[in-house]
Amino acid sequence: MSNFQLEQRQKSPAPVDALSHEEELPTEPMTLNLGPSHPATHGTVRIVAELDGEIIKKTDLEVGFLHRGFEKSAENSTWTQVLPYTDRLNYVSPLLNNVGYVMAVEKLIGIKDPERSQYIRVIAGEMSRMTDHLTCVGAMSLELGGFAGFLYGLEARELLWDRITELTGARMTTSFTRVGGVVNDIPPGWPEKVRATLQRVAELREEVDKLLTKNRIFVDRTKMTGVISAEDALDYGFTGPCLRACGVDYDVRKAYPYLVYDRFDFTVPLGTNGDNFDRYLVRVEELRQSERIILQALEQIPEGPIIVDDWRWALPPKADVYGSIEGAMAHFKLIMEGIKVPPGEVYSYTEGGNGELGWFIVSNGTGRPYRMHVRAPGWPILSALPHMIEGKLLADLIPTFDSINMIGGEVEQ
Amino acid sequence: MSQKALELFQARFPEDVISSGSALGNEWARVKPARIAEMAAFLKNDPSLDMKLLSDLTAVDYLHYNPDKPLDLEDPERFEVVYSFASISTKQRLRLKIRVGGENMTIPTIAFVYRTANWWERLVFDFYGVKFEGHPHLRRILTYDEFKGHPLRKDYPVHLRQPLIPERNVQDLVRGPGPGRSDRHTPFSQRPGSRPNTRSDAYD
Repeated sequence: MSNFQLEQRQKSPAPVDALSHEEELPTEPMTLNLGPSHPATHGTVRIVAELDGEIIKKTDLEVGFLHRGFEKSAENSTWTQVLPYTDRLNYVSPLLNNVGYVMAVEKLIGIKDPERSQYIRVIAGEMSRMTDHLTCVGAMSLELGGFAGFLYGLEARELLWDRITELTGARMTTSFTRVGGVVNDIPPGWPEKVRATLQRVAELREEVDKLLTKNRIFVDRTKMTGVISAEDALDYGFTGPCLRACGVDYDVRKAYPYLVYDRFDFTVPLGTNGDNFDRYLVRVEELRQSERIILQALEQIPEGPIIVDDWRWALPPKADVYGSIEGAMAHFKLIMEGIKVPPGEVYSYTEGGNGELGWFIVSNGTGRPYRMHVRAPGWPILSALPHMIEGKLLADLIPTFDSINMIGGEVEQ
Repeated sequence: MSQKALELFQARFPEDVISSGSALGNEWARVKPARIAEMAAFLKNDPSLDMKLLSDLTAVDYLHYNPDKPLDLEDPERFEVVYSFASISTKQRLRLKIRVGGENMTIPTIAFVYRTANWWERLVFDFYGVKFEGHPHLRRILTYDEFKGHPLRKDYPVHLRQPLIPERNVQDLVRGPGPGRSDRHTPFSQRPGSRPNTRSDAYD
């Protein structure tokens, strides 16, 4: 496409001939159902689009097909029993949910996990962020017709999930953190494996980058489509890569540093146009930054305990459970009654794969959360989808839906 | 952390703030519902607050919170709607809380101030039944239109099933699918011979 054509397209997303065609012939609107399960989308959202020719006049989103009552279930579980549910919120970056949840509970209790555990959380969390972005970029490539990009992205993702399996015992349903620390220490020889994996992931990332970033078809379909201005994005509650693609510098890791993020040297990539292409570029760049964070954390990680030595919050070591009456009692009470989190309420937020992952928790001092609300970052972003696609071409819907990375698990709870 | 924001807010709306405080690094103010849209607009547009991001909007049902208090379904302060505002530029955060309850509880909408509130308010309506006056199209969002009741209320039974199509009478090993016993819609605490559900950790 020549520069002149590109400019024309930026001015009006609809091709000129489609508009003139509309003037000549009488048309009537057509309603098109996309989803809840459609080969060109992922996730379970039904998009009812009212079309005029190829232009989307009006859309209605129907969500909730994957609703399984996360909040109600959490309010009827002990604090530790909530963890497996959090894996299933954003299931492509489960460790970030695990970390976000236990950090909210720790904030309510007023404890901090040991330094080694904080480093392990950062390493595991950043690996999860990489799997999240690789999935998004790969799926975007696939749904725009580039199967190769998807395969490279998934190879890299599987390599990272192999390392996560070695650390946690599961690919996706990790449930790795506990209030006050993490479950397992790093296995022997794991850091070297991670370094080797990151090297291969970097090769694959560059491969995907080369395949897509200068690909004519990909650029034509993503550049200046699904545009949202910075002002509108904030108004709709965007956070994370989608907000940064609009040029707003907001990353919870930098704005309100938590864990040990203030000790690493990394940058927050920003876009300019707020279109699908920028959202894609921001994600690819964040893959590089996550890699930098993991390499620095592996260098800096200190020796020490991985969970707090306080039996009110964390399970005692097995030797104490079987060897002392205090240990057995603490274990029994934690399992049967749950952690007695002091009464109060807290809003805690961390940077999830798609943006600010917020937890609003109310405790009344019993062993169960009284109220558990998760602010899924994908929820406000999905609510802006009609704003981003109305008046545009139907073909622009697919890349837009891909680049916002809607994850049914977290959006529909 | 955001004491300044709270003070500015209180100075602007002295009569509407019922109480305020600061806990665990979060500042909050409990306010009267009538002028919530004006408050949201103030928080959003005041240059020294600049809270352009409505990061969260949710509600809490305080029916069981205090186990010693007798149950009162019509308590005018039963529900608390919580708004979390955040500023990107000044990094301040403020939470506003509104207590409502009773038969026809309504709060003015802020969907015209923050467009993100549109879906959040639909979610709170869906799960708690709090109505937002002036909302462009207040209808259920995660559950379906035929759904009866509001599932996150504390008096909504955990195991209640509301299938859109009749379920076959085949019992699963644990609890379903299938219609199950005839008193299946009655919460455990309200069946004959059981004690009333007044303790928050005893659930149906």
